Amino acid sequence: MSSGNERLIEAEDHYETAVGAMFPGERAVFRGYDLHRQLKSWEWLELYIYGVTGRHFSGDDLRILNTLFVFTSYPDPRIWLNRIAALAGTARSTGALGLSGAISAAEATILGPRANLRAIHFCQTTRKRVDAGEDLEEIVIGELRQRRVLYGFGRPVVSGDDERIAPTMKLLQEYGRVDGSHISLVQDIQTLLIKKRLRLRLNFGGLTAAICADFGLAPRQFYLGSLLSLAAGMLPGFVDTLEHEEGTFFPLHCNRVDYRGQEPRRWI
Amino acid sequence: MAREVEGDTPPKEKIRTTIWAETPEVDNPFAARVCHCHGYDVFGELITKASLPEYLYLLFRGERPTPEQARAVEILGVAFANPGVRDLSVRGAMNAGVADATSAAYLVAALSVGAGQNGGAHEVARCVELWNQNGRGLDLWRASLTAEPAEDAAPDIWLEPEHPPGFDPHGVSCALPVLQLLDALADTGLENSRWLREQRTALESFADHPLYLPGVAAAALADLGFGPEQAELLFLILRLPGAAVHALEQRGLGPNRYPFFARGLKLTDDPGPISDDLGIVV
Repeated sequence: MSSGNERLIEAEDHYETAVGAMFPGERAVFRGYDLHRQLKSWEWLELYIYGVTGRHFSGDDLRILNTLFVFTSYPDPRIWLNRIAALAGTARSTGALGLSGAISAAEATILGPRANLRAIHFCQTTRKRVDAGEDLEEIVIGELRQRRVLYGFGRPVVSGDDERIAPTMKLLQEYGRVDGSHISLVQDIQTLLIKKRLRLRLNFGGLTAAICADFGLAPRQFYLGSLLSLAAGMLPGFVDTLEHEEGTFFPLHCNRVDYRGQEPRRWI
Repeated sequence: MAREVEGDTPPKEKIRTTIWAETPEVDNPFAARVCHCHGYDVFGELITKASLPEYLYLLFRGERPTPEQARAVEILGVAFANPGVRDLSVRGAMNAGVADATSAAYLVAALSVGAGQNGGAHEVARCVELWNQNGRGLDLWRASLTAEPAEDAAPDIWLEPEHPPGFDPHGVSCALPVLQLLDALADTGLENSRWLREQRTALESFADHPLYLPGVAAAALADLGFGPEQAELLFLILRLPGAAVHALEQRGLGPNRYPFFARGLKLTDDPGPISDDLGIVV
C-alpha cells in the first residue's frame, strides 16, 4: 500500500496552524493578530469574513457585505430553514439545537450557500468564457439545455422578480459599484432572459455571487462566508414560538397526510 | 369534542407520503388511533412481530426483508452501533459531552463529523455509487479506482474525495474487524459481500489502500438495495448509540480528564505579546 500510516504518526500530537490559538490567562491570537488588542475595534462581520477568507474587508466593501447579510435575514417562520428553528421552539427544544438544525439545512441545493457556491462558479466561469470571445446567449442556452437550471437565476415556489434585487442594485449605485464585471454580466444575462421570454430572473444569490466575484472571492470563500447570512432570520421564529403555547405552530391533524402508499396488509 | 377542520376553501395543504398513514381517534383528529407504515399496522402488529432490523429495512425499502436480508441489517447494526472511542464522530460527540451540552448536541456533533468523506457517511454514499456503477465487474472497479480525479469539477460543498471511497487512506493492511465483518455479511448470502471477499486483494491493489469498514458497509447496503442517500442515512443512524454512551461517559468524567492536546498545537503566525493601550506588555 502506498502511503500507510506515516502521516498519522507524524501528526500525532503535532498540528500546525496559522488561524489562531489561545494562551490562557494571557491572550488570544486570531489569524496573526492579538484579538483583544489589535482587533478590538473590528466589527463582528469584519472578523467573521476575515476568519473564513483570510482577507480583510473594511470601509465600503464591508458596508456592502453587511447590507447583503441584512437583506437576506427574513424572519418568516415558514421559510424552510427558519421553520426548523420554529419547530424546535414549538417542540420546546433549545435555542442552540433550533439554530444548528436550521443552519445545517442552509447547505440546501435549492437556496442558500450551496446554491450560492454554484452561482459564483457559474458567474466566474461564464465571465471568463465571454471574455475569451464566446457568445453569452450560446453559453446560457447551453447551460439551460444541459442542467435545466441557471445557477443564480430563478427561485423555488415563487416566480417573478426577487424583491431583494432592486434595493441591492440601489445599494451598489450608492457605493458606485454597479459597473463590476461580474455584476454587469448577470445583468446582461437578465436582459437576455427577458429578451428570450424565459421566466427565470436574477435571484439574490446570483447577485451576491456577482458582487463577491467582483470582490475577488473564490467560490469556497464565498460559500463559507455566506453560511451565516440567513442566521439572523432564524432565531426570531424560535423566540416567537416560545411565546405561543407549545405545539401550536402549524399543527397538522391526521387528515392532513395525503397517503399514496400500500394498502393495509398483514405481517404474518 | 371533535372539531370541524375540513371543508374550508381553498383546499388545505397536505403532506404527501407513500410511507405513513394515520387514522384519527374519533374524538381528536390530531391524535392517531392507527398508524400504518408501508401498509403494516405499527402498533397493532409490528411492535410485537417485527424485529428492529426488519422494521428499519421496511422503512427504507418499503418491503419486508427476507430473513437473510434482515440478518445482514442486524449484523451491520451491531457492527456499527459503536464506532469506538477514537472514531472521529464519537470524538465529536465526546466534545459535547465533556462540555456538558444537551444530549441532542452529542448526536448533532456525531452526525456533523460522521457525515464526512473520511470514514463517514458520505464516503459510504460515494462507495454505493461505485457499486451501482461497477456492480461486480472487476475491470470496471479497476477503471474507477485508478481513475485520475477530475480537474475541472464544479465546486461543491463536498470536496472531491482524497482517497478511493471504501479504502483506508492511512491503512497499512486490511484490519481484522474488516475481515470479520466481511465474512459475517458474506455468510448471509449477500452477493456483493461474497464477491468483495473474493476480490478484496485485487481491489486493494487498484485502490492502493486496504479495504476498511465503510467499504464493507457500502457493499452490503448496495446489495440490500439501498441507494446512495439511503445508505448514507442508515450509516449515520446506526453509529449513534456509541456516540451517545461515550459522550455520556465523558460528561461524567469532565474536561480535565479529556485530552486538550495542550502541547500539540504549533501556532505559525503569532504576533507575540503586544503592549496594550495602557502600555502593559502581556
